[in-house]
Amino acid sequence: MISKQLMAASTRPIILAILAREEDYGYSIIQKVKGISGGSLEWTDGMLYPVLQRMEMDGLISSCWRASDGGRPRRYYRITALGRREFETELAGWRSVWKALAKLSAPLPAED
Amino acid sequence: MFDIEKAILEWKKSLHKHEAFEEGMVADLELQLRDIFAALKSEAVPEDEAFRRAVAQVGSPKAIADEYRKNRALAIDRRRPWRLSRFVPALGWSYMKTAWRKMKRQKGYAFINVAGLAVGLACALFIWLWVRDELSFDRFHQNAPALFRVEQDQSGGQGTFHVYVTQYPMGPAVQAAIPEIKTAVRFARAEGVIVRYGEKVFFENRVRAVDPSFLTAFTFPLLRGDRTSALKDLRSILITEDMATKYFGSGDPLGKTLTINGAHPMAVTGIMKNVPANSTIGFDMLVPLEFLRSLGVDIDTWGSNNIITWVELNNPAAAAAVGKKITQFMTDTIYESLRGNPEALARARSRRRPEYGLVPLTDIRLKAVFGFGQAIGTLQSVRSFSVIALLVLLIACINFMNLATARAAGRAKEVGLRKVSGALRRNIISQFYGESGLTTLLAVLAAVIIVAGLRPAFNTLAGKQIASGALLSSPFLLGILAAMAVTALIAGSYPSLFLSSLRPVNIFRAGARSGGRSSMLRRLLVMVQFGLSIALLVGTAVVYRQIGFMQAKTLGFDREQLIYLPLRGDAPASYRALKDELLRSPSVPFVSGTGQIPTFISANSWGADWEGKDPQERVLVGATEADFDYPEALGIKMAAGRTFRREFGTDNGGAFLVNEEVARLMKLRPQDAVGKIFKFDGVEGPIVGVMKNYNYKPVQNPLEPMAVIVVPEAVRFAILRLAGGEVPAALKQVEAAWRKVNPRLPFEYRFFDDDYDQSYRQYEQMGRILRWFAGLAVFVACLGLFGLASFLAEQRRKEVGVRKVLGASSSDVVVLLSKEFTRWVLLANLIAWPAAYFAGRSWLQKFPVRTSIPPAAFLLAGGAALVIALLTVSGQAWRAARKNPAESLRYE
Repeated sequence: MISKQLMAASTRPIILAILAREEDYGYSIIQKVKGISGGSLEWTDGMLYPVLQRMEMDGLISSCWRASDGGRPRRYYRITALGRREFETELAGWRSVWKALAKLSAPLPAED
Repeated sequence: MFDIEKAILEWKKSLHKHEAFEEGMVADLELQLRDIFAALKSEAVPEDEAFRRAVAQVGSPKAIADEYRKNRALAIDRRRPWRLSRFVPALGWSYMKTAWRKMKRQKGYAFINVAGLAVGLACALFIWLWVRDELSFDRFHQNAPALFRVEQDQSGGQGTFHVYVTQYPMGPAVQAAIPEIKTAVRFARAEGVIVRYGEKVFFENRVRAVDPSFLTAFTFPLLRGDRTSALKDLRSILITEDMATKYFGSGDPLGKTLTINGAHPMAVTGIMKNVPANSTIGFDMLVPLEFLRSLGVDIDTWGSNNIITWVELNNPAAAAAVGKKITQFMTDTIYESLRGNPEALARARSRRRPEYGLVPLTDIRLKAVFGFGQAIGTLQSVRSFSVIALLVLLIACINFMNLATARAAGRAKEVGLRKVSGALRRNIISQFYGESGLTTLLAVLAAVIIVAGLRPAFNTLAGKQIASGALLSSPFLLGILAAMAVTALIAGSYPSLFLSSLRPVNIFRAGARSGGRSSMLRRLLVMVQFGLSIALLVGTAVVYRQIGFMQAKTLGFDREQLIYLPLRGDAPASYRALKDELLRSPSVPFVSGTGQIPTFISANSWGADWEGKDPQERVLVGATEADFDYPEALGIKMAAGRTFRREFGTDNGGAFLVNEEVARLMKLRPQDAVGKIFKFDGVEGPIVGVMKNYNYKPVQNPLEPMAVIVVPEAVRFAILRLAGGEVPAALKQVEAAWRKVNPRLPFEYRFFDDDYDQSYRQYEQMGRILRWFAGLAVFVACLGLFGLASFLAEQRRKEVGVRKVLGASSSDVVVLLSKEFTRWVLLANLIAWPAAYFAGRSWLQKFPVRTSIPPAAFLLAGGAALVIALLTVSGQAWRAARKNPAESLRYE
């Protein structure tokens, strides 16, 4: 299980990562997260929406209502240029954190 | 049976309990719920179970609502600091909107306000451009502040005579003697030379001979050539662009040779830009001063004052001290030169020596003085026009204030409501200033368009060459901003201060009334407006009358059909032959000649003497060297004695004709002066006749004493009287005679009339400008009156209705409504007349011959203003009076 803090910190980069591939709507985003993480990333579905709103306020994503294939109207989210830049920064940050962790957790070289 | 729709509705209701949820957010969550539900159902989960799990998966409404609330708090907090709302006062947009709507709803008033202000501002801007151009004279030289002209005050019996010409050798002499002088530059005329290049031959009047340092002291733009060396060579000449085109067309003039007077080849060593319009120093060609020797000019003589001497000082602040030093130096020099002649030295010592002074180059255009203290500078015009510009602008501002206060009644309720809603006094003030600002802004835009469009017309009117670039210069833009700020402040002052002082209680209780105080003020303002307009009208009348007076004044000679031919090059040598040839034609009854332009005799001398003259007293007498027949050709009447006659041998160079002023100086009656021995200009001989005074200078100059002596060799201008009848035919004959005698010289003539008209041009321009601005002032004032009258007529609509119902006729109503305005305009004369009288009198002071200011001018100006005002008002009154009372009283 992932800690609450890590969940909170990773939500935005993950959403940006998904929207960087293609525009998408809320339910589908959640399904993708669940599918990719094999269930280890478990979000409370409703909590996604305030995050999306906040990201829209920050200008990282934009949204519009459109009818889906099933005829039901859906709010589609799309990443903005600012969002892409933000995503690049986040990704670099996560990579360096991961590198540091990987180095630190590697077995100590034997002393000879 | 489980009803999913009902369940979702219930669930949504539970969401709405949290106020953080807005409609869109609920919709988001509902869709999420439905998607989960649909997915579970497709896995064959029973509906009620599927709904329960879906609700759980969406999550706790309270937790979600908390997140949304955080977002909202953040959104409010994050209003960007650069947003307009931080700068504009809280209600700024509301004020602007109100002002804009008011304008749209009352287009007429808005138009009057904007148009009046625009015309006023355009006038002010034009005059500002004019004044700026006047003030810019001669300032383009890099070291303009250090340049001074040497001038002198000569004293004698008639007072102090001021001249700005000096002796040829003075410049180098003072430069050598006085260390404060960095450079002295001499500037002399080489007038009437003939310049030839190949087949092209012209008389050139604006050839000037200068020291080589002229080019470095003054920084007239040089296009080609080298400033430091261009005039070093004795045979070098600099020409302006225009001259380059005139002689060389598109060819390269540099290094080419121009021939002066057929004998002196001069190499073109430089090309100057044309002398700017705002330069008091003018020339077309420059030659070295030393070259004048080749033209036979004695440039070593201390005997006469002929040229202008400029000095460049190391320290401009020392100008006064340097002037004193020059006086001392010149006095010493004169005494030194007379050392061998004790008698002359004693005489010189007994007299007052001329006093020299330095006048800054930048003061010359504005403050120049000539002769017996005549101000020939334009400072007075600059001052009066500036005042007029402000007056016209003031009249336009008064319009705005008047209309705004008149409409205050209608706005009082708005002010009351704003105050009740919490507006402070300063909020109201800023609102009304905002409105005047908006009106002013529109007016400024219109004014700038007017100025840009009418600039060429103004240039013609004022005789200026203001370039369109002047409209984009930063001082002009700053000027506009300043005018705008001043206008907005003045125009907005009364409405904002008055309306903001209203108390809501009074507004709503008693019903809004414009109050006695403001209608009193309006009356006063209209009076001021019309007072100013009438004063401007009277001023215009005075200027025109003076011009007419000067033009119509009997000059003392007959200038009709009188022409003169300048004799240049070697033409003076053949003057005799030309005269004989001309007299053969029946259309030329008289021919004579003089040494100077006959309409402006500038030579004069202090040396006149006669028997019985107080030796201590020195008098300045104008000197004319002329040919026989001089009074006859000009048509000058004799007061006593006879004119020159060829039969008397001594008349040729040994006798004088003087004017009545000389007789007056001699303290003799004209008939007694005849026969007296007169000494002047090195000639001693009897006065054979006294001519009646005539104006040998334009009549804005005072009459000065003058003596004529016959020296045919000195004639440089032939004077011809044409017989009545066909002038063009006569001119043809004159030209034919000229061609016969001087086949190689261009034929050129001028009418005396034209010269005189030219000398009035400055005043005519002033008159024309004044006429336009006076007219516009009246127009703007009437525009305001029109607005005011229509407003008041509107306000008294019901009163008019009642009066008509009770039997008043339309004309009664018109009289009633017009009466009030009539009184104000009549009262305006009380302000206008004294003001116009004193201003006009002080302007006329500067003319030695001046017209009076007739009472009729005041009556006419006042009458005209009244008629125009009445026409304006009664139109509105008539419209009000014609209204059907049934309509105006319908709502009672």
